[in-house]
Parts: sequence; C-alpha cells; structure tokens
Amino acid sequence: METPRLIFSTSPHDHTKRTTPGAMFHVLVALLPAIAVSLWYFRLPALGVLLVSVLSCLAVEWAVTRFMFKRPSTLADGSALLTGVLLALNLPAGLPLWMTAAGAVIAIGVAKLAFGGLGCNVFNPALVGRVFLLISFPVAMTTFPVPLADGVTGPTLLTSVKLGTMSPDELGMMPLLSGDMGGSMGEVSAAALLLGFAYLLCVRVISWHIPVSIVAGLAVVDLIAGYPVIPDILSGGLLLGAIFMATDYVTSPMTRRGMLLYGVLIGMLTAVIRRWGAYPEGMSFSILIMNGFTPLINRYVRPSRFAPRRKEETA
Amino acid sequence: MRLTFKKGGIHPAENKTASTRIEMQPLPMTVCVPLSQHIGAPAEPTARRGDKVERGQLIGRAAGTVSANVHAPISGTVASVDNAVLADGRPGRVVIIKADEESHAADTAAREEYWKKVADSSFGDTSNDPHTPEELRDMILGAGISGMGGATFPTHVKLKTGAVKPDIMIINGCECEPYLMCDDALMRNYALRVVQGSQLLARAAGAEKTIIAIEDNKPEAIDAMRKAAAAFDGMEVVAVKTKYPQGGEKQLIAAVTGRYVASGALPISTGVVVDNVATAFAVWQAVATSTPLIERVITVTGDIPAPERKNYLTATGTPLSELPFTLPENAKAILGGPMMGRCAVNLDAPVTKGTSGLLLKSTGAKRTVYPCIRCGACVDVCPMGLEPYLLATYGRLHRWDDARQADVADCLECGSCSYACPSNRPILDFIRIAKKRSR
Repeated sequence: METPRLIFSTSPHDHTKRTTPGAMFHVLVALLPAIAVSLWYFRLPALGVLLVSVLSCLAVEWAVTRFMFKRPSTLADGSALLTGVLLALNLPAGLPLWMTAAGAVIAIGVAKLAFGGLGCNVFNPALVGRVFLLISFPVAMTTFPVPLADGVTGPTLLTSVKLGTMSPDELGMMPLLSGDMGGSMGEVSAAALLLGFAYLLCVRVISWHIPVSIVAGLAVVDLIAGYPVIPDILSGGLLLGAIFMATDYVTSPMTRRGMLLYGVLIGMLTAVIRRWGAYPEGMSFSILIMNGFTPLINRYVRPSRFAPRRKEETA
Repeated sequence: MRLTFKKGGIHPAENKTASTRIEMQPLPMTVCVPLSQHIGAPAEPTARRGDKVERGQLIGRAAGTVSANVHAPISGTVASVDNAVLADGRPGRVVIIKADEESHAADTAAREEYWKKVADSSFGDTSNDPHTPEELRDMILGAGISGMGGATFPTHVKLKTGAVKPDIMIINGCECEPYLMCDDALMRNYALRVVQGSQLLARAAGAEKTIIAIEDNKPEAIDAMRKAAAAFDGMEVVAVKTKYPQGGEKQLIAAVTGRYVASGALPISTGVVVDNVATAFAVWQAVATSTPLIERVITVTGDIPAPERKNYLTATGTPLSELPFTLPENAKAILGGPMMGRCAVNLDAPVTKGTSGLLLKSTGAKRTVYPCIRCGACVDVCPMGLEPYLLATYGRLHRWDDARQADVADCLECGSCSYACPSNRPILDFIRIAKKRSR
C-alpha cells in the first residue's frame, strides 16, 4: 500500500482569521465617515488631494520596492494605501496637487521605505509627510477653505484663538461636531471621527488606551491652564490624531501601560504647544515626538510577568 | 466571576464536534510499542526477539529517576526490538509484537470482559483502599503511568514528596485544546472511576483537598463529575472559564487556587500537584484492577465526515492507519490538539500513552507572511506575560543571552502568540530555538 503524503509543520496548527491587510482595511472603513464629510464640505479640491495622495503613495511604494529593493510588490498589504488616505486627510483641501505628491514622496519614500518598509519605520509616515509640507509650504498648508464656500478661505478655530480674534467657546458645539468650519480635510468633523473610533473598537483593531489617554493628557493641561476642555478636544487635529495617527501599530508602544504613558504625554505636549507654542496646532509634532520615544517606552514599560522571578539562590 | 488566569489567553474556535461515546477500537494484530512514550529516559527493554509476551506484561523497565515502565498492549511474540522513526519524526527504540489468531481472540474476549466490569459501579470501590501513599506510588510506577494530557511526565515522579508537602491535588479536566473530546468523553462515561482515581492520586501525593477543574463548555461532564464526587470528602468539582490555555499547569493552579508558580520554580513549590483526568482514570485501573496503562481514549476528529468524529478506546502501539477515518486532501495528521499537537510523519506510527487525539486537518493555501507591524497582539495573548515578538527576534538573531534575560525559559509553548499574529509570523518557532539555545 502506498503511504499517503502528509503535511508536516510545527504547532500551532490553528490560526486567527485576523490579518495585517485586514487591519488596514478596517481602518479604511473607519475613515469612511471622515472622508465622506470632507468630500461633502470641500468638494472637488478635496477629491483631488485624496486621489493624488493615494496614487502617489502607491506609486512611490511600488517604484521603490521594484527598482531599489528589487523585491516583490508590497502594495497588497494595504499599508501604502492607508498612508495615502491618512496623508490626504491631514492636508487642507485645495493644497496644490504637486505639493500633495511631494508630501507622498516624503511620507512613503523617506519616512517609511528608507527605514526598511512596513514595520520598520520609527515615525508615522503620513505625519512626516504632513510636517514636511507644513514646514516647507507654511502658507499653503495653513490656507483652509471654508466649507461649501467656493474659493473662500478662513482661519481655523485654533488659529483664531491663537491670534486672539476669537474665544474658544465662540463657535459653539454644532460646527465642531459636524465639521462646518475650517481645517484639514479629515479633522473637521468630530462626529465622523468618533463614529470611526466606535467602529475600530467594535472590530477590536485598536484599544481605547491611546485615544482616551491622549484626551486625558490634554484635559489635564487645559484644566491647569484654565482653557475650556471640550472645544480643545473637538477642534484641530486632536481626534484625527488620537484615533487614527497615534494608534498606528508600528510607531506606538506594545503594552497597554506603555500606550497609556505614550498617550498622556502626546495629549499634554499638544496642549502645551497649543497654549504656549508658536504654532496654533501641535498634534502632529506631539505624535512624532512620542513616536521617537516609543522604542524607549517598549524597553522600560514591560508587561508584568505571570509571576515574579524566583529569588536567586545565594550561597 | 468565572475562575480563570489573569493574563493573556485566546479563544480559538472550539470545534468540539465528535461524539461523546467511547467506541472500542479492535486490538491490532501487530503493535509497535515505543520504549519512550514519556518525558525522560527511555525504558530498558526486558523482552527480547522471539519472546512470548502476555497482554499487560512488562516489556520495558523504567531506567533512572525520570522514566516509566512500558507494557505489552497485546499478547503475542516479540518480532523485534529495534530503532524506528517515531510518529513525530524522531528516532527511538520500539518493541514490535505480533499476535496470532488464537491470542488475538483471547485478548479480545478478556478485554470485553474487563470493560464490562469497569462499567459496573459496584465493582472496584477504592474509597477504603488500604495501601499507603508509598505503596500507591509504587503501583503507579509499576503500571507505567505518565501524564496523559500531552506532556507525558511520569506520574510517580510528580507524586514523590520533596521539600514541599502538597495540600491540594488538582485534577485537570479542562481539555482547553480545541477539537479534542477524549477527556470530556471519559468524564461523562466513567465519572466514578475518574473520581476514584483522583482520590487515590490525592492520597499518593499526601494532599488533603482534591479539586477537579473542568472548562465550562462541558456542562454534562461537570454534572456527571459533581454527582460522582458528591460522596467523597474533601473533593470539589469546579467550573473554570473556557479560555486557552486554561489547562496549562501554571494557569490552572492560578485560576483554581490563586497561587502563582514563580518563574523557574516547579508547580509543587506552591503546594499543588496537577494531574490529568485520564491519568486519574489510569491510576484507578492500576490500583483497583492491577491493569497497566496499555490502552487509552483518543479522539479522532478534524476535517473528516461528521460520523467519523469519534472517541476510541485504543491499545497503545496501534498504528494510526488502523483507526477508521477518511484522510482529507492535503492532510496534516496531528497527534493531540491544534494548538500544541505534533504532526505525525506517517500513518504507520503508533498511538502512545500521550496521544490524546488524532486530528486530521486539511491544509489550505499557504498563508502570506507579512512583516511584524508591532501591533502587540502576541504580547496581549501571552499567558506568561512575556514579549513573544522580542523573544522571536532574539531567536532569529542568535541573541541567546538577551533571550535568557527576557525570561524565554518561562514560555510554555502554548502557541497563543503564533495563533494571534495577524502577519502570520512563525513566532513560536523562533522562541523554541531561543529557548533551547539559551539554556
């Protein structure tokens, strides 16, 4: 009798259905409300920025892996697509398209692939792209179209507060939630972002630790500074950053306690920059700074072991 | 709140779809009995080529402290004592016994007679067993009993009293591995025998209290065991949460007693001894019926037609191919459960004392491996509170000292990290390498 061929492998022989591209997909789904809001408010310019950002990110990823790494394409893991969408949502609608493309080159080419690609980057690629654009083209990057008003631009709430032309409470709650105000494409509507947050929690792609601790850290500094907490949470890039940027797996800590430390510090740094810094908004800077500390946090904030180590026998 | 361990753990699909009846797998005409069916030194063969052996006769004597006796599962003639490739692909010595028609018929009749007696609850009451703990341990050694949950540690060694005298005996009926149902079937069908064996084990260990722990996905087994244990003093049946690896020794001790086995220490240091329900059953057989461990219940399950998913009372040494099942396409034949079971290299390999199941899985397309995205899933699920991603990296980079510093020795190889990794990385494989090399 012929012996049947058996497949041999080491245990475990069962595997979760979760995959890395699946996680990217869930984040994209969670971003749909924010994408829809920005397309509704900012119309064609927003669509242009979104498409150029996504296509440039994909093109850079493909070209570098193909011609420089000479490796199989990594487009299928979905990370370049996600970076493209996140970069676009962090830019003002109406940013010149060539600038958008330049941001994508920096995001994927420099921040991600120069470090070795997916999983190896220290800093969040989309945020590196955004900050590169902010520093290189400060005017274009702070020219925010007013929703549904063709060609009209205006300052964000945080800028007005910084300039002293508006009080933080003046706008009221409705625009903050719906997004009917100036700002980057994806950051304007708190309601859309919170909807995405709820989705990510439901499918367990992220845990509450980082977003909640960021909000808590910000609130603590606001309370000390005597600044109204709620508008500060709902305005600017705080929620977009807390839910979608700071929670990036690659650049955030591995343990729950590490995540809390990382989040609280991001929140506090952001509040400090907003209140006392030169920029009206500090979310991107804070996340990038804490990205740099993530390896250190991983090193010192270890998970607690099952039980303490047995005392070394002393002679 | 349901009893469980604090850190980590996963909930793989249970797939416990086999029938809970126990069928008699006919005795084979030829058995291949490995002399090492346990952890530790292989037994020394006491039978030689050409010898006539009786079913249950000693054919391998325990060699050294950590070792176990091996007995003939069928009567017949020893065809050879030879080196062979064992089920998991490793070499080892085996005794091959061939039966003739006459001895086979006699064995089969004796076996039927025996199991009729086992089913008769008026027979074999051991509640007033006169043996001392030392005598019980000798009987367990004599019967060649080793842990039947999968780790196959010789049972008499566990029961030896050392510096710490145990006060609690935990009988492990968790069966936290998906698919497997042999312990469930045993508890449903032979609850009284398992309880009697548990009492004997507790006496042999010198523990006053016996706790039988069963995962709460087996309510029928819990009921049956509660009924059987009601008449026994100091015996309690507890339901524990269904979570893998609930049946891990350290995890179970923590869940049931709140005691934590320190890193590098043995479970006995907490005053607890843990043995499997099938082991307890084997102990009852040894003490009440002077029967050595020569057959066990195994679950045959997996991607095979539902009516074929069954539990069989199988003689050790029976070739896997004699069990009735339809081999699926691209099959893996896993000895044990899907989380910790080992692949068999061929189906001529024998059932051994530690074979809790034969899981036939049809393997699909190879899963794509992605880079580690540092999501922390492996850290979340590790029941020992380790950092699997880091240990795997140390293993990959040959950084044995760093691995030791990061407590790689604590890893129980439960496979939760590899299970949970969304990038399909072979985390546990690299940890195994690190664990071995950093010793």
